[in-house]
Amino acid sequence: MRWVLLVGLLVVALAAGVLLGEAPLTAEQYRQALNDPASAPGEIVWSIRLPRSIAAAVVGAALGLAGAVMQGLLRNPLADPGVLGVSAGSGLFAAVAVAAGAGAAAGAVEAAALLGALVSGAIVTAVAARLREPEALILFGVALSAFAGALTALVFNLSPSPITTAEVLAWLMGSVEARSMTDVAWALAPMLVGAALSAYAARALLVLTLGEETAALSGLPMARMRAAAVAGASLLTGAAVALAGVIGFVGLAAPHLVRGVWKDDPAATLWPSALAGAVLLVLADLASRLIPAEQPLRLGVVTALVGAPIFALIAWRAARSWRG
Amino acid sequence: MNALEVEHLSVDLGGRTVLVDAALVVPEGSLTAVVGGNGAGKTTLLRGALGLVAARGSARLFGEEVARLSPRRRAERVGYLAQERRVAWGMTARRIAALGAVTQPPRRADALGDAALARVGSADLAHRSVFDMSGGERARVLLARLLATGAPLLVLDEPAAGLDPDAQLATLELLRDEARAGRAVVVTLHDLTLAARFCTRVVVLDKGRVVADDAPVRALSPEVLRSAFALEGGWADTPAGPVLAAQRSRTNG
Repeated sequence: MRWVLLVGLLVVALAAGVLLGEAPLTAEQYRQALNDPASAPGEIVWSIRLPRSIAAAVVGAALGLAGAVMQGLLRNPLADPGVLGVSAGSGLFAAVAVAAGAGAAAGAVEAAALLGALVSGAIVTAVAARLREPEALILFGVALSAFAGALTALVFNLSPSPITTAEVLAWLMGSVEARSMTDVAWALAPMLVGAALSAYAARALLVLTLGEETAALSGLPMARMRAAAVAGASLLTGAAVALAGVIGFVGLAAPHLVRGVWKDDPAATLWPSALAGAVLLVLADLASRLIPAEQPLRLGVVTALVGAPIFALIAWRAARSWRG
Repeated sequence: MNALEVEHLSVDLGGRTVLVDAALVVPEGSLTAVVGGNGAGKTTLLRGALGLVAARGSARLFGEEVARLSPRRRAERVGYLAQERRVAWGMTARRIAALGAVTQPPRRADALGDAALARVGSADLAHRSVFDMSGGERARVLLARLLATGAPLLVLDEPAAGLDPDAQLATLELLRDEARAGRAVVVTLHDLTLAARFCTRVVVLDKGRVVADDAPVRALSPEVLRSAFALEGGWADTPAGPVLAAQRSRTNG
């Protein structure tokens, strides 16, 4: 039932993402789009809105899953790729690639984003092996995030042309505008690997619920599973950044929304978190298109505006439960 | 056969040797208590014996060096209940208990978890979140998780801590029954009377060294009570078993 509801929500969100947009269409135009995909309304619906909504769904799913994996791994509802610095690292690499003029080569900036996520993921893993306390690792993630942010600012600072600056900024604000199905397919490959690694690590997240020592003696190959979890979450995040730039808070909010329904089980919430992330981002993208503004709203801006207060709320609740 | 054999085990933590040349032998069918003051090295001894911290010396589980066992084979031999009872997510008791058998197929793990919950008398809690339980209820669920491992050696760090008297007795009775049924059980305890009443053997640690290893009342002799616990006193026989009658040494400060 809960699955049906979640999948139903995604279908409704996707339908809304395809049917609604900046340019309102009449019933006659929708009919035309359906009958003749090559017509002008057909172009709008099938070549602009559909790929964009699918891209939003795919990115949202990847970030939702990555967030669920990281929260399980760190036993902390405040963990997500953004908090741990993986998104920032990915954004930094993309920014450096743009500044270095790699934007001209197809896929170069995207590859840099993926690499950036893997490098920051590897750093987080290496540190996690030494800092066993989840809180300490989160503080490290905050520091890593700040450092990557500082280096990104340095790229801005040293960037000779305002065009580069605008391009980098576009990456950092995140968007699924003008994405094609080919773009989506490229990002999907690393995401599927990331999802498979997450599935492999699911039982490790379960036993980590009872702490490191219990997990170590659970009989599961924890070292391998922990590495798989971090690699999986990094791949998912990197591919998401490669497709849509840096988009925050989806990884934080999605697991939070489904956790109650799936009885707090860190393994069982993985796939619902992916679905919830997809719903969230399709709706956020729709909102970015429908909210009237001088300039089109960027997706990353919309998620941050909604997500940051949610982050504060979760932190508030978590702090209260720690105290009690 | 001996479930656990520890020889010349030393552990350094933060540049300090917190466990010095420790020895411990736990035969099948026995309930052994490891006792000692705070910081005496009880938890470190258990962790070192199970390969949870880097240690020098030898620790064998059913004849095989713990360091050479794969995670899977180590878990087949030993189940561990950590002192830390924090549970990160509010999962149901049933889910938590089944974690003891996490390497088994889900349905089998659930069955083992359910049986273990019934064994500790918590079947009624099966569908309740651990976040909505009292400390005692949560301790029982975590004990069920340990039993669900089915491991022939059970190691429990402070299983009686924070429990009311009835729950302490129930826990120790259950562990004694497990030992009588053939399992090997090791517990750390602060309550020396509980140790003397229920355990077949008591190992006393003081400043990282094993200072006594014998039948309970003999291990906890007046001399050991004085040197390792700064207590003056001895054991009184009662119908319920030996009871410690002691007061703090004057030199205690």
